[in-house]
Amino acid sequence: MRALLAMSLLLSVGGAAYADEKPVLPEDAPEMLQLKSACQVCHTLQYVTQQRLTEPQWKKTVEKMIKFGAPVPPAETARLVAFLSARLTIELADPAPVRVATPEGALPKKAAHK
Amino acid sequence: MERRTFLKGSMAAVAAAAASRLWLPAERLGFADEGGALIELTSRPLNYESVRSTFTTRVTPLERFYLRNHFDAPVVDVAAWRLRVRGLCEQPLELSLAELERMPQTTVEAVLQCAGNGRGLFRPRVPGVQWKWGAMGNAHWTGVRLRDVLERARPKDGVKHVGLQGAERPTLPQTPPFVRAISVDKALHQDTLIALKMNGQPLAPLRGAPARLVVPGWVADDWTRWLSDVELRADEQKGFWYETAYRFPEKPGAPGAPVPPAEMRPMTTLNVKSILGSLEPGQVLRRGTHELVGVAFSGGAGVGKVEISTDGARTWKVAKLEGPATPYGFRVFRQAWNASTPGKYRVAVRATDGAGQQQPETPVWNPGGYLYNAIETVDVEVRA
Repeated sequence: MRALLAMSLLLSVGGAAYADEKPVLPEDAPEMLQLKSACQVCHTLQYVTQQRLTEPQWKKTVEKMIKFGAPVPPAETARLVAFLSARLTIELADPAPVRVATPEGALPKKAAHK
Repeated sequence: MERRTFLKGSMAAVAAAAASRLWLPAERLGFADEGGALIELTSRPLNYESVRSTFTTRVTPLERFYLRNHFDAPVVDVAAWRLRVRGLCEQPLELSLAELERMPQTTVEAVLQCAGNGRGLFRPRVPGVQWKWGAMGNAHWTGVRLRDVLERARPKDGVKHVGLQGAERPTLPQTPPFVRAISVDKALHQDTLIALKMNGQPLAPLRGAPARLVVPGWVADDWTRWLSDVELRADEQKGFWYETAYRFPEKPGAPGAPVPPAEMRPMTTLNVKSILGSLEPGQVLRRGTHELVGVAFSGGAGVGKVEISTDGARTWKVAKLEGPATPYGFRVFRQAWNASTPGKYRVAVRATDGAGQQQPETPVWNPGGYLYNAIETVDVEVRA
């Protein structure tokens, strides 16, 4: 039982909640390279894949990130917004929660190896 | 757990497994850590929220306490670290950790809650980290009163704001650094601390070591970690994180509607809130008596009462509040529920603070998705 639970949780990494569910952002999409190079300078794609937004909200978000330094060529912005707003819509269910161990850096030194 | 439940598809099995593991005596709930004590929202930067069962004890254990970051956590050399106090003062200061440790130490119990806790529950949706209920925790914070430090700097007349910056820095130069500010009144309040310890232990690196601000009753964005710079100012703080982010509409409008920036104000005080930690949504319970346990808190007025409904918020019963009153901390509430008839139940909890403010049925929608405190309902099923 525990193994099953652990397996389900492991499979949920990457945006797909369960084994039979497709990732919300397809790895082979031509926009993925752009998305990764723009976002992963500062944060994982989890920041992106947990959002459920409308097209105007995605546009605003992408523009804010570009202002914050995200490297997206101006010619690519509209394509990126279209890609995100087509897939990470408000109708999509929330990603399944993924449980993780507490990082050692969040614990006082003597308790870190409990 | 029974075998037939197990066979009903993996999702149901996973949910039921979680449920059966969580239905333990309340004092053990805080230790149901299989699979990890936190829920990962983003692994870089670290944004982890507490699992629901955390909210069954008054003090939140450090290993179950949430983490929220805008940027990668800094590596602070504690020996070289100094707290600088500058701006409108006669005597700018540079204090080492040893100097702070030699000053009088005070302990305050207070809830640290991310302004965006519950953002993921707002509809219409709001962009940002999609926290559900777990970006909060209650701790005993020990350190030096901020006002003791500020008095040593001998502030000049006209100081109205206290700017705050920690050692964290954004990855890209175009990203605004995280700089916040609080009013001088709150800075001089006897409960506002430069904390060196959390739950009696020296601050861990990810908790802001060696020193963080503790602003009891106020939202977490003012509780600057890795505190390095305190600036006494006459004018308001500048910068994105003060002038644009972490603002709440003066008069909330229709859900989803934009609010003009001039009508947004910096957030300060937390609102009254409660959570039922002993039940997971979708949980299946055996027929019998179950103990409903959770925590409630407010932004300084304490908790007046907590009521529980097991019939979808139609009728309410006052729950027992445990332990001494606390203006800023968690209050554990507890009530026995005799679930004698099988069926589906909607359990709800609502808290009223010491000043009479009660949790609303619907949240106050705002563009940042801040301060969610609507009454929560948890749907469960009782089986024979």
